[in-house]
Amino acid sequence: MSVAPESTPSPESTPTPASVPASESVNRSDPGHPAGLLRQPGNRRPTGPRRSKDLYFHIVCIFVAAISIAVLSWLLFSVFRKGASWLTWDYVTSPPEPDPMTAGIFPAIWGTIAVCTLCALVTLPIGIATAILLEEFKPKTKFIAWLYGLIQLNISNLAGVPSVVYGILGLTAFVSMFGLFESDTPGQPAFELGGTSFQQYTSLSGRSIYFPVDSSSDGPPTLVDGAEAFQYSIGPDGRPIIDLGRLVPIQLNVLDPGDPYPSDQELKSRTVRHDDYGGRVHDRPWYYFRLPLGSGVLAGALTLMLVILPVVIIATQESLRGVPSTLRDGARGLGATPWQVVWNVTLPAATPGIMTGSILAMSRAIGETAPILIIAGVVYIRHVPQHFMDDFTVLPMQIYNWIDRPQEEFRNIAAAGILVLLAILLTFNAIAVLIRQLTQRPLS
Amino acid sequence: MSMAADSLDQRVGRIFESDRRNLASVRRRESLIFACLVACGMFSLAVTVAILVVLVTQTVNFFGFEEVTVGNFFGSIRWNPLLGAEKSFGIWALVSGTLMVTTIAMAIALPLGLITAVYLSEYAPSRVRSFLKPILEILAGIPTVVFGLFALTNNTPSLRLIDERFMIFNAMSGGIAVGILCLPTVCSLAEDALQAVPKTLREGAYGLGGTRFDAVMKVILPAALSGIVSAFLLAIARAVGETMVVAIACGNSPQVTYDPREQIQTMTGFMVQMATGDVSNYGIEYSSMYAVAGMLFLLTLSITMVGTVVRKRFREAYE
Repeated sequence: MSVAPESTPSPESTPTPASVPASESVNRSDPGHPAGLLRQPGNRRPTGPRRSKDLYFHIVCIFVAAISIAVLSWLLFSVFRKGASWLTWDYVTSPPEPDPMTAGIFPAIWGTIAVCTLCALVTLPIGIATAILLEEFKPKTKFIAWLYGLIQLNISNLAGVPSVVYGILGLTAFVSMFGLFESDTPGQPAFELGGTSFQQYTSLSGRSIYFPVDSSSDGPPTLVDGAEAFQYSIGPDGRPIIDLGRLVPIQLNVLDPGDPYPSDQELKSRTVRHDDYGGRVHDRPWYYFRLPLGSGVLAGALTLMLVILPVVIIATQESLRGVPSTLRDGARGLGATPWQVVWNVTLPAATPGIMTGSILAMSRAIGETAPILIIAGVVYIRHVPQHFMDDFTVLPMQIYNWIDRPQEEFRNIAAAGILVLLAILLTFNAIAVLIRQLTQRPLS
Repeated sequence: MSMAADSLDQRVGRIFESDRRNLASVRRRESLIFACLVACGMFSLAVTVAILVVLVTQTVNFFGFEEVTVGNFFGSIRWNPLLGAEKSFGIWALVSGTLMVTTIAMAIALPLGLITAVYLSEYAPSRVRSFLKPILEILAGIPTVVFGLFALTNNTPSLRLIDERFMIFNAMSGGIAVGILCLPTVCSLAEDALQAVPKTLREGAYGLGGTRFDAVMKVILPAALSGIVSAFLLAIARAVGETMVVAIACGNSPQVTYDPREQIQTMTGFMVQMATGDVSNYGIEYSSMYAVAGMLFLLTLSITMVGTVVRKRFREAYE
């Protein structure tokens, strides 16, 4: 494309006498001039103020688009350059050590998997059901129509609420549950189910002794001679099996002041000093439940649910709208009830769209940091979550944790964590695109 | 899809062939399912109610403290909830930080996003468009911590190279990163709005001898205005509520300043500071977090509301 300055119209563009003066004068102020419309043979690329303005604008557009793309590519490239060399197998499989050389993201990956799976299980049914209600069950009365309008307006407003506000809501509604379940000890649950708590003492021979207590918020128990306590069972190799679920009972012996110091090794191993304060340990199976929820996996999943629920609803509504109404009419004509129409006709037809939308919503949940940060705070987690109430960290949280430290090495391993996060998100997006591509077939 | 279509036929057939059940039980099941759906629908309303209840009660709680007065909250520009004997809760220190970051971000995201959208929609060859559009959508989903790291390790050193008076944590660095973060969103939504303009309008413009520039400026942009404005408003709401980038890159000192080289603190940044710091769960500082969240909620809600009104009221309905 040739760039012709406005002041020198090329002879090609002015083949007729009528348009010779016109190439100067045809502009915005004179849109009605017929010369602007003339296209003579051989006049391949007319010039003139309007043409050159178009050309300049085209160039500006390409330039700006190139800048936009370049900035975003630079962003990805700079993260890649920082993190690529730190991304090793050890990094993916080890816990976050204080030393950046050996630190890893294993607990964070499992935290992300646990929280997001749970979040999907809770969000998708509610979100899809809401969308079905709004799209497939048309209101019959004025009141219901008003209610639908309210829900619809509400959803579009919820979609614009910053995720940090959902974090605040999650903190109050799930973590502390509005303070409804107060316990005597601050920070301890008021109600719990399925877990066993022990007071842990060290015997005179150095073995651990576990004394059961009723609830995790009770104070230390009073020790009496002959009470039943527990110890790790000894495995076939002579070492104790470190598993609170497989303890063996022993008879407790308390060393009170004035008692003779036991010399028998067996007695020493089950004797504690009367003034041993001990520490609290918990055996909590996966189904352990407590109220209030605390900042555990379940609270995190529910908070993320608040964030992505509007996204799921809107995506599902769109794909339901895409199902041609002839399909519904056909089913209805065969005598199907409204729910039969939805379950047998509309939902199967809309499934690809719903799946795509849900996957994209989940990828948003994976990347959310602010709400999790608000409910959990900065935590140092070395273990994979064991139950629904367990403390957890997720990938973006771990990344933030590292970015926030002043040392350069931690920023590098944060960049490596971002690469893992981006790889997960890209996979999700690719699956969504794949579903969209494979199922693009007109239904009408 | 062929599988789904087959099973669709089969399912319709099954409805037809299934043994006729008791009509009353069918009705009962239908109304039960409907009730379940309504319950799920009400859940989203319950979320809004819960947000309002939490924010309002805790904000009232906050104003119940002796040290806090409404006049101080809305009238002061000093936000000093943690340190010193004299605490001050002037929300404008935080609001001004948010406004500065948002302004910087929008100065980048809106023009770049809109022009890129115009290029994609009107100028780009269809192959370029079909290649760039999905990439933009993927970029719109990049987690915000990524932009935080970018601001800290890329923007800040570059800015300090240009002018040494930029602090390590400064408003500019975070604002630029938030702008880049909003760019794909603006671009993608504005492009959707431009694509929604019917083809006949474009053809009419070209038929009258308009260049592409004329068509864009005089026909397509005015026709898509409501969609573009609501895309802009969405981007503004997103920038106002953006948390991680400003928490990472903008610092922790709330102040009213016009100098983007200074440290600032936004409303969201303060909330993160409260949530991650060692603040007791019952103190005045903790309550102030809810008051700030309430302000933030009001701000974004009003932006979203304006967007809804613009989309409804000013939509040019064609065809």
